Amino acid sequence: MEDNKNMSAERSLEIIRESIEKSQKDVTRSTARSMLISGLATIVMSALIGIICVCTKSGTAHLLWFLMPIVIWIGLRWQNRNSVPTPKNYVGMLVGKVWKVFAIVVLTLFACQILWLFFCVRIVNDIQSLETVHLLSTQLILLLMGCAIATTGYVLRSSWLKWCGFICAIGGYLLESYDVPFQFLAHHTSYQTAGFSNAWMPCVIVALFAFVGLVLPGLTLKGKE
Amino acid sequence: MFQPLDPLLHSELRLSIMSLLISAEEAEFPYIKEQTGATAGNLSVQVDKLSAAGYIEVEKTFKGKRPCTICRITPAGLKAFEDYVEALKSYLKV
Repeated sequence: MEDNKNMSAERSLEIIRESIEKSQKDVTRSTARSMLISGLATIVMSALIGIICVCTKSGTAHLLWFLMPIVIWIGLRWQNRNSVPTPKNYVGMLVGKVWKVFAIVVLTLFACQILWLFFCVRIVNDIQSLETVHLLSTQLILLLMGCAIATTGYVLRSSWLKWCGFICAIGGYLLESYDVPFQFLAHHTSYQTAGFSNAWMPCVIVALFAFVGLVLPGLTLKGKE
Repeated sequence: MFQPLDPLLHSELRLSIMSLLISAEEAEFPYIKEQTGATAGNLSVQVDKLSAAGYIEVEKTFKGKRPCTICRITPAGLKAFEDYVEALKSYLKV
């Protein structure tokens, strides 16, 4: 670009319009890619954990959720490996922070739950307490994830995403509170199968919510490009 | 009556830098270089001019072992840009 100081008012406006358009396009592309990678990484991780749970017939594989931030970080680093770093903007940062808060709350509660389990089983040998205290349940994950999706909808000014978030949060919370998935499975299969679904069902739900809350908005933003 | 245009902003490259920074919170030097198509030397001179005027803030840091220059617009830069666009309107009779 030349350093022309005698440009016309029309040319000035054209430069402003072109630069703002370019910058916004790049920011949108970068936000869309980050959302897609985070969503796809979550879905792949859910599938992996779900399959391991079914194969090993135990819920120990859920410990792999702690690797989730590392997997997403590697994915984002891989995405930006050869490209010129795109600028940061408030929308992208806000969406990122909403999901960061969600991940921190859920993983911290999950860590507390594991510590509580360790305390009950190994230290005081009181299995009864395990049944009464549920620090992190599927309905709480649904509620938090629904809120994160609705907030993302507000930030991105997407009505359908806002409503998806509300429906997911309230609908998911009510369905889980009344044990509808368990009753449905128990009715169609057996109580044993339904009981075992506690190990893999959260993976299916997280994958579904990651698709609605991260992959779909990512694709929508990519479409807007 | 035509309003005077800020001479610091009334230059293709500096106006382009300011316009890129206006819609982003911050941008790295290689990104601005790629978008404006300017040479590193020329861009560096214009960035220094904008920084000296207090229109942008330049942060020199490291990304791993590589030096990294981050530019962001300041409130004074934002005000100057708004005034510039207002002044442009008088030329275009908007």
